[in-house]
Amino acid sequence: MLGRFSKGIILEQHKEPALSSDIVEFLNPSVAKSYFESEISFDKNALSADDIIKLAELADITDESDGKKLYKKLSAAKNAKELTMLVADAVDDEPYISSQMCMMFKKPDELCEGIELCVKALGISKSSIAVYKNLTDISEKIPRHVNNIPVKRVFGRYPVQERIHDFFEGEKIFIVGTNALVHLSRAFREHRIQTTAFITVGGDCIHTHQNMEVNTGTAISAVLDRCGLLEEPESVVVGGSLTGVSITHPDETVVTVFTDAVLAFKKNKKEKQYTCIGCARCVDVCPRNLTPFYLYKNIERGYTHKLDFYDIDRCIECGSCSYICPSKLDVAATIISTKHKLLKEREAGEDEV
Amino acid sequence: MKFEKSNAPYIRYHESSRTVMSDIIIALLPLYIMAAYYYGVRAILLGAVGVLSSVVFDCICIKFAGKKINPRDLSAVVTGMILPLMMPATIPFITVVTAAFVAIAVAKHPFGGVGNNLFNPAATGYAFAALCWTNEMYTYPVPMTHIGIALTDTIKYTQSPAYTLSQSGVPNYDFLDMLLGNFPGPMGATHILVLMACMLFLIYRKTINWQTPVCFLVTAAVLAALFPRILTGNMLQSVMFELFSGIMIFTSVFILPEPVTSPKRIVAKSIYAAVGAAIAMIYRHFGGLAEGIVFGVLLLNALAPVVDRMGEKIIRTVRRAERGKA
Repeated sequence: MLGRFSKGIILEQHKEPALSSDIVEFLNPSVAKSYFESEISFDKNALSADDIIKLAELADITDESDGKKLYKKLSAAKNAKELTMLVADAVDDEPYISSQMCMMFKKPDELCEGIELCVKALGISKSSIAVYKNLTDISEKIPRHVNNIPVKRVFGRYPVQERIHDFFEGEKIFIVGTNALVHLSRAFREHRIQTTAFITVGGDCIHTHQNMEVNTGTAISAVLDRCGLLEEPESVVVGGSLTGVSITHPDETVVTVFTDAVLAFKKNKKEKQYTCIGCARCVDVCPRNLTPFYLYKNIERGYTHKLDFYDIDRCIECGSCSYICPSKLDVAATIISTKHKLLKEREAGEDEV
Repeated sequence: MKFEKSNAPYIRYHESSRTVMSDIIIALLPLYIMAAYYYGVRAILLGAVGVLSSVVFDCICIKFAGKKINPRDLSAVVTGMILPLMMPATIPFITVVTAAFVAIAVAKHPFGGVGNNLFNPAATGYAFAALCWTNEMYTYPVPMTHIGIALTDTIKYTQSPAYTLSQSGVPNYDFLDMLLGNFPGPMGATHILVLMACMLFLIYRKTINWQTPVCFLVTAAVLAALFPRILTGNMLQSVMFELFSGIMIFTSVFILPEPVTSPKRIVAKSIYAAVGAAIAMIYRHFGGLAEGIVFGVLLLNALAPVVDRMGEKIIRTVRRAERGKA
């Protein structure tokens, strides 16, 4: 608990102009809208909890906040029966991304209907929308309520996503991404299958920063062409600017239901690698209170047996250590790849036994 | 279209190692101005010699090691600037050059260069000079006397309060004079007010943590109050003279929080600073030289990894306990 709000990093959010501009539809007309056949009623009051879960299953909705199928999440949570509150995840604490947040401003009716349906499916009464508070550069004011649903402003330094539970003390919360909720509302109203994803296109190489609704399966290069490139980017990233994956072939990589952003960054000519001077800034910012310095040094020297002492498995892969590093070292990438390697080895070892 | 594979994160903080080092350089500059005010141009010249010799030795060592010289690496400049400030303004130039040689070619590069040195280069250089030129290092000129560049004129020397303290005497200096640095001592370490401002600047810039200097000075003050060296006089006087004399505050700002040799965790840093102050005070009580903090720091440098491991164990225990509660 101690140091909960002092750890982490302060970021410039760069959410504008994407957040205030309208969501642009970039759809392939032949596959844009497909519908499923079902007997399920269009009357909200006549729906049962199982009907709603059935809707989520038929519409094939995926929750973009954790990558699970919504109907599986709902039916598992319904059986658990301890939940008290539904939280719509519109946190978006990484710079440039606002694809979850923009639902609150641009599609409030669909979002609230999605929340209503989810609450009904789970048989709980309370709901809330979680939004990141430390946004200074947005031109729209974050409302206190969206159609009578309270908005909870989560605050603190990046990363906040991991700490979302701390802001709802005393409640057992169930988190659903806002995009999945909008899709759920569409499944109810139109019996529409989820064939699109909401993504933010941004980065310092992009001409028009905007939120888009894109068919899954669209090539990344098509998305980039649609928004226009200012110059040849050095890296094209799928996902957040701190945790995303850089791609090498934008023509062959496609938008999936998990994609929340496509970002393009230009080369930073000033950036040059130094040797580590041991300034311990990575230790100061680590939100999990680890010592990235020692993790990195031990990995460099090949002392993998020491990594357990430094609790490498508690790393949440937020990338804060690399961001802050004044020597511009790839601290996070080194730690994360080693962590995955170790976990894999451990699993293999367990299988043998 | 085809792009290079690169690693997350794709945005970086704008500060680099160069910023860290240039912050320290900015903090050291006012001390040179103060030294020039009290001791004349020779102070600036000593600084220039220090910087030039460390940079030259650094380049030679890098060439010997077969590495590439990085012009953006300012650590040698910092070492060269710190060294003369801990010495009196009348120190021979050869002492500064030798100290720079020891700092760079003995303490820094044999261990692997920037970021790998086990002992603080500036402290090592100073310790070497203190042992080889004991007389020159511990006789101080009276402030505001004219000191020629070649030291041909007769200069009024006097004892520093640090020496008076070691002889159980009570130094006869005014509180305000001590704050402004108007008392004999190392040319950059007597300007208490300016040093405090440098400390605040570096803390504000997050180049150093506030925990290190505060823990160091508080522990030293408590020890000075409990075990005063001056037999007459009160506790406050003892605390003031112990903290203000010698290079106590200078060490707490520029030597102790040096990034490479200090521990990494805040907990470890606090313990480290407190232990350092204890060693320094023990050295002042029982050591042979008038100013022995640097030897304490060197001893402490060797302990840094141990302290860090201790800090890690503390955090691990706290973490396990918290998880057990939840």
